Amino acid sequence: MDSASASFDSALIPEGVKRCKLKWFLLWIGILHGPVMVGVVATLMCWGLALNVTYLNNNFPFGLWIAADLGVIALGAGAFFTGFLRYILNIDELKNIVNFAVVIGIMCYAAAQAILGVDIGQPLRGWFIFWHANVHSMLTEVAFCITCYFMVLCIEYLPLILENRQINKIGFFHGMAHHLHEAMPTIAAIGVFLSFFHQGSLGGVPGVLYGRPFAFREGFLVWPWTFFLFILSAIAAGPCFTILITWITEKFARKRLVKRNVIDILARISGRLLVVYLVLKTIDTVYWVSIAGKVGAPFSSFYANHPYGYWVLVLELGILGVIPAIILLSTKARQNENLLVIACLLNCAGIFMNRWIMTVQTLVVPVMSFDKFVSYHPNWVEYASTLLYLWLGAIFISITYRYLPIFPQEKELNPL
Amino acid sequence: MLRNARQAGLEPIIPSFQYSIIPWPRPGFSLCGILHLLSHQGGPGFSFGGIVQLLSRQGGPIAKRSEASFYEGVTMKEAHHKGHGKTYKYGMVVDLDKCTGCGACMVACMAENNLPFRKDNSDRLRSSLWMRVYKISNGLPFPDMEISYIPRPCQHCEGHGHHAATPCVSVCPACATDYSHETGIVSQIYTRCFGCRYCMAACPYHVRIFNWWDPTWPKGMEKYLNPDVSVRMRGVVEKCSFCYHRLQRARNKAYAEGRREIHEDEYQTACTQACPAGAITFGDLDNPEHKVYELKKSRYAFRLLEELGTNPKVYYVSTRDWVRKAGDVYTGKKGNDVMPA
Amino acid sequence: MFPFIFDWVSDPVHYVFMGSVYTVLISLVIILHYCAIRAFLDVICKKGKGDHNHD
Repeated sequence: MDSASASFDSALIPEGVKRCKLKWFLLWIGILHGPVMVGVVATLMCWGLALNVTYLNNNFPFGLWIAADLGVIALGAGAFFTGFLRYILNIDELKNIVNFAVVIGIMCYAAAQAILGVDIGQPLRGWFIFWHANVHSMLTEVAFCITCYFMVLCIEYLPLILENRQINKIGFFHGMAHHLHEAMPTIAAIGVFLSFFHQGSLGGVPGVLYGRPFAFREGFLVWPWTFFLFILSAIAAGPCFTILITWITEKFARKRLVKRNVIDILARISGRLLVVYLVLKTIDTVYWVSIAGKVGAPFSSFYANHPYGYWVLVLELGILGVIPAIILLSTKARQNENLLVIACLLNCAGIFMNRWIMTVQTLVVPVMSFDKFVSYHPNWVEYASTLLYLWLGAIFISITYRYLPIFPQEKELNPL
Repeated sequence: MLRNARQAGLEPIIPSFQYSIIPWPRPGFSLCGILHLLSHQGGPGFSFGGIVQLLSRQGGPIAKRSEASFYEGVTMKEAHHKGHGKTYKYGMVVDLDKCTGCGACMVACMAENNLPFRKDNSDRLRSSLWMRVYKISNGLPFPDMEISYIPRPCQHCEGHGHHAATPCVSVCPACATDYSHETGIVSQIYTRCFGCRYCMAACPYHVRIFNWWDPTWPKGMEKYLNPDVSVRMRGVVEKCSFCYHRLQRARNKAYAEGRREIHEDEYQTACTQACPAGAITFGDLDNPEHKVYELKKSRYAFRLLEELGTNPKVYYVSTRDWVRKAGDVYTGKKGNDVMPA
Repeated sequence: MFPFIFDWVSDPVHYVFMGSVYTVLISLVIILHYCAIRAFLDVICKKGKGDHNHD
């Protein structure tokens, strides 16, 4: 680490904090451009050569992309949920992490929309989902809500940009940032409204497929039970993802950016929600098994297809569910940083696995008795075009961290 | 060879627009009407009815006459969405004991509906087949082994009760697929589909296929394409339409002759006509004068996955118990010993 | 998507759904404009340089 004043761009760096030299920063960004280029090539192949370059097929119209979409949106729930806790429930300490939660949210939601842009067969017609909207489709609800919520996130991010050292010198932008901060509870409330709906609708996407007994669930009014389970699982895992990314950023910055008590509040809430989710998910699973059995689909038929055996249930609910819940509930375990990070990692992996199961395993289970089991695994094009947004997210966070004051406690924790 | 199905047709091809002597739009012609028409063109939705609707905005005599004749005092929209006026329920009965698995129905369907193919078309997970013949066996060793073939077009599900909508129609985010309450046919608007493939995930019968490639044909073969059916571009989902263009043509013919009803033999799908064993019967399931009306009542009749509540309009008939059980594992309930052959 | 345009369907679900969408969009536009106008008035009235206590 070198003094900020030594860098060419030091005038843009927030006051009172240290950042690495510009050359190291550019080198880091340059390194990230390597995998970004691979992802860009994969994306261009999908657009230019059509989707036959992937391993998707007529039996697996949904694959890694949709699972990743559902996954990143769930992980991005940290943004709206932290906003909800900070602005609606007024947990004041969370003001120290809510900015970063918004940054992570933007990264996740931009990724989700971009992946959808690659996934659809006719990307130039993507706007049809708005123009010819079928309001009875869960996917329509998802599209409208994530687009509107992305706008909300951008508005929440706007004051952070306006607080950049140079931009903030301009009176209008300074005032705008101030007034946006004042309006933030209203904006957060809109975000919460939208997020509850689209997190739920993502659960509705597999839940309404009554032709697929593995995914179909009954429910309340037009919403299947998966609607509510997805909301709950998203708000249980989202804060953990925020903690995880904050921890990674701290490791790269080689300093503490957020006080432990703030992290602890998020971890504690996440743990409690995870327990509630696990209880409800278990009830849902037991109920679903009994219903499916009545219409002639024995429980074993859903897990008879290698590699999707019973281990899937054990891993999703046990190893990636119960273990992180125990760690997050225990005050002592939470205080151990390594254990906390492992719990967050397991929790996030669990949510991702749940989304994979609800999309891909749904399609794996043959429905017609004479249908053959077919397996699916993504190819490099799918992996590269999905991971592209991880690298772009890293670049986005790096730039944001360098030039914008996103960690209010950084100065206090790291006096110059 | 590929024109056999066409040659087997009842009358020469008459594109629907030829009958509907459309006057050139006058000033003040409704833009919304044109947009409506454009938004449906290329799919089964580009229909005589669509033109009627366009003309009816002008209040022309043709429009009034034709709408009155086909929709009996209700608008086309009401007939389509709500099933008002005279409705039909086109469906199919397939006798599995007659089916020899020759595949003529698949070939006829490909030719009739301009389905593209590749040099190596062996990858069944990516090939374009609207009609697909499955081969199943009872799994017993010789000499007790039995084979049956199950031709599987789109089941044109109606849904009922709790599931009041077709599985694929209710999920399409862009209204690119629709269930017509007037004909009972599930349509697909290719120019509106943007290829999200949600409908494919919703369909338990795998009848929906995605165009993974741009459609191409060997040089010169494009001249043999059916002018009544649009060629679909890559990146969209397509499926069996019960040869909807044949219904349009039959209606146009009936209209030209001043008739209100079309006869059973005037509207038959390509697969029905191509089947050498006569295993496929097609018609209005609600019309006692049509053969399917009685056939579907057979005690040996069943539908695929009935227990799911999809309410399909394709019936299968087999006197063999194990075949009926194979059709619906959920009705069989005791589990199944069917082997995909 | 837009009321009274050819693809608009007049049923309660449509009104609730699209009504919510437009309410959200209009709210966001109003908030942004409100903040911008307030900031502009601050500058005009020379109040823009006050030391605000941000979150």
